[in-house]
Parts: sequence; structure tokens; C-alpha cells
Amino acid sequence: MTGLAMTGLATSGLARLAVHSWGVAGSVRGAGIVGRAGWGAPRGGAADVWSLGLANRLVGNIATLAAFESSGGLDVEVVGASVLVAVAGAEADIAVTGGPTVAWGTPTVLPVGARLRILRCRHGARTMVAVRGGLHPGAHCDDGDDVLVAVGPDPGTAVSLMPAVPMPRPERLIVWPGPRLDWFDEAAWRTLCTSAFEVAPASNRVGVRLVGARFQRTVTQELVSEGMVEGAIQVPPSGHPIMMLADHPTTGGYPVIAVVDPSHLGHIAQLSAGDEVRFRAVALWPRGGVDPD
Amino acid sequence: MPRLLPYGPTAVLAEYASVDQVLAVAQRLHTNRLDGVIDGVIDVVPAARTVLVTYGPDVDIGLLHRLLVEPVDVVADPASAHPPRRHTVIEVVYDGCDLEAVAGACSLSVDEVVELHCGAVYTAAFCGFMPGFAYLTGLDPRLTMPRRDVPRPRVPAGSVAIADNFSAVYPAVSPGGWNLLGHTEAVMWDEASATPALLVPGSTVRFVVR
Repeated sequence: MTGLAMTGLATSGLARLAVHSWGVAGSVRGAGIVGRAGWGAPRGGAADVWSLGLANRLVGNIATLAAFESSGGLDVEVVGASVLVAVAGAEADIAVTGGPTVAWGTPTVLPVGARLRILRCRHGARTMVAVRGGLHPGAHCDDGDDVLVAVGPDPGTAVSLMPAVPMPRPERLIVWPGPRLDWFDEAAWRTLCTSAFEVAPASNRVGVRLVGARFQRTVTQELVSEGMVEGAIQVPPSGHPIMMLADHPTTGGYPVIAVVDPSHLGHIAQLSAGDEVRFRAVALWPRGGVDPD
Repeated sequence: MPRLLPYGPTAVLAEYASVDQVLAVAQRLHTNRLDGVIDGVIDVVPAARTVLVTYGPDVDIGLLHRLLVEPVDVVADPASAHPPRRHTVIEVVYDGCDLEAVAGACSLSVDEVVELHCGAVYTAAFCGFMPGFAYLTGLDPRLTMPRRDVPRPRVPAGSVAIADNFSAVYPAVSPGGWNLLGHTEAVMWDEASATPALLVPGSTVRFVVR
């Protein structure tokens, strides 16, 4: 009789992963926690956060959910219900019994009873195995033959799954000063970082049009066309800003007052007509020291 | 002295006194990328007075700024600042709906407009507005005239046009405010090609009557 059977997990309808072996340096890792270094705590979390993110996205999770990190020897069994898994990070020799082959970078459904083993890492040191819904991170206990990952309310028993959650939308989009900020009046930067704008219906893949506060130019000469980036906020003569999207013209003849931080480009692409948009100045920039509140 | 203008964490806009300096700097960047002197540059977008450069985290930002601001030898003919490229001849049917208006505004006959437009060798200074749309310098100054007051909602693909001191060919149907002289069958943008733009900065062009 194994420890697994003794905990009664096999009869549960909830998908779980029972860990038969952690192998070399195996663990469950999310993105870690920053901001505690002064207290002596490093970030922790997955060593390769990019691969954690890729494995998670392959199974439809947000990038930071916890997944297995293995340098070889991880051995897990699917219990309760089938799961969707994906492997990223170091390429590895992967063995599956009781289910389909799992290849690097390919989301695969493993049925109940399937056993997944990360045998050996190749071309890298750490393989990430993400599971649809994410793993509940926590302490694990060494309990006879079967080692079971801790699960939220009942540490030391099993790993369970939670539903995928869409990326939360930031309350304010971070903006950097644009090349022609000095073509606008003194109040423009403060206006940009303190006003509420609304997405206009004429928005498309070229740009998201905003209505709300308007911007006054102090330099009124014609601007000869110049290059624009995705996320550039251009102000045409109407004074209503436009945020450039994926199909924006590569050059434009209206002054660019600000640039949305690249990390927020996905969010501006998801804005719909009627949505409210607010900005905040990037704090890294000396001129950005406008506190919107 | 060129000015470097801020453009967020992944781009910089350099501003110059003339389009010749723009072409020379864009060419210098091109050469240094090809030679592996500078890595991490993603896009170089020359325009009339500026060069926009976007980059990734592996760029040497100090080197990039030096390549943008250090003086360049500007030669009188911007075409010679580029390595030799295939010269392109574009056949044009001069039947544009602004032909007579241009002639009137420039106090020329329609035949003289066509003759002057065909008489010049143009250089693609930069591209923009839409994929494959090259701003061609070298227009005879007698043909200089502003954009239309009210842009057309639909300019046909292949339209050959002028505005200010530039000529251009519309690669695809689009709204547009340039003065239309005629049309060409030339394919300005071929999405399926590895080199989709017929004209890139530095290309030389002549128009001939078809």
C-alpha cells in the first residue's frame, strides 16, 4: 500500500499530481516574491522565469503560476481527473506511461493514472512542467514511498489545481515622455498623468483614439513626418490623443507627447470603445515626477 | 549638432539639419549592423529630418548614441552615400486627375509637367506612411506644390503623385492628399517576397512615359 492510496486521493474528482520522486533539486516554483531583499529574502521562485512563463502560457495560465522545476528525476502521477501539461525550459528526456508522449513546448492532456518522468535535462539545467490551473506551491513532506506536494488548506497532502485567471488590467498605463513633449504647454504632462480618458469608437488596429482632456500645443509649426513606435501617443490638431497599435504607420506628422511602456502594449490592444484609460508617469524618469494622486 | 530626443525605454529619436545627414547616419548604422559592430538594433526608421532607432536590451546604448551624433561626411548627392543599388525604372501612364491642376498651379503645360517629372533621377530618402511608400527626393523645384487641402478618401494603388518636394507611388489603395499625376503597374510591395519593398532608402528611380 502506498502513501498515495492511504490519503484517499485516488477517489477524489479533483485533478491532482502525486509526486513519486522529486529527483535532483525538484520543487514547485512560481515567479517568486520581490521587495523583501532588505529583510534577507531573495526573490526565490523559478530560476528561469521566462521558461516558467512559456510553460504556463502553453497551458493557458498566467505566466507566474507555480509549476514544477526539475533538473531530472521528477516523477509525478495524475490522480483524480485528467490534466493539461506543458514542458519548457531545458529540453529533457521525458517518459510517459499510461498516456500520450509529452514533447517540449507542446500542451498535452494526461489522463488519470498517467505517469510523467523527467529523466534527464539536455541543453539546459532546469526543465519546467506547468499544469493547467497552476500548482499550489507549498512545503512538501517526505512520507514513505510517495512524496506529496503540499496543497493550500491541507499542507503536506497533494498538489491541486486552480482555475486560469486572465491577466489583471493595470489601473494606469505607464507612460514615458515622448520626443515632442516640449511642443506642448507646461500643463500637458500633468494633464496626461492626472486625467481620465475614454476610448473612442473609431479605434482600430492602427490606433486607440482617446477622448477627454485635450492638449494645447505651444509650438505650432508643421512637424515633418518622423518615425513612430508602437505605444506612441500622437496628438493631431484636434488635441485628442491616439495610442499607436500594431498596424500604425511607421512615420507620422503629428507630435508624439508620450510613449506607453512596452510592458503595457498588450493592455492597450485589449481596450474597447467606452473603456476608461488613465496614465501614470514612469518613475524612473526625472521629468516623470508627477504624482497623479 | 544632432539632437537626441527621448522615446521611451526601447527607442531614441535623433534629429538632424538635413535629409542628407539623415541618409548618411542611416547608412552608417546599416554598415555597422552588417559589420557586427553594433548588436541589438531592431529598427532604423529614417525620415525627413530624423532617424528613429528601436533596440533591445543587448544594445550598447553609448555606442548607438555615438553613431547617431558623431559628425558624418555629407556628400552633395545623397545617392552616393549608399552602396550601389539596382536602379529602378518605373513606367507611368500620365492620366492622373490632378495633372491639369498641377500644370495650372505651376504655370506649365501638361506636357511640361510630364517632361519635368520624367526628367529627374530620384532617390528614395525614406519610407513611411504605408508599407512600400518611398519618399523620393529629386523632384524638379518647378513642380513643388503642397498637398491637396482635402485628402481623397481613396487613392488607387499604383498612383504616381507629388507633394511638397517629393514624388511617390502609392503601393496600395489608401486615403491620400498627394497630387496625382498618373499610374503605374509596378508592384511596390510584394508581401510574399523576402525583400518586399521595390524601393528602399537609397534606391534610385526614374519615371518614363509608357
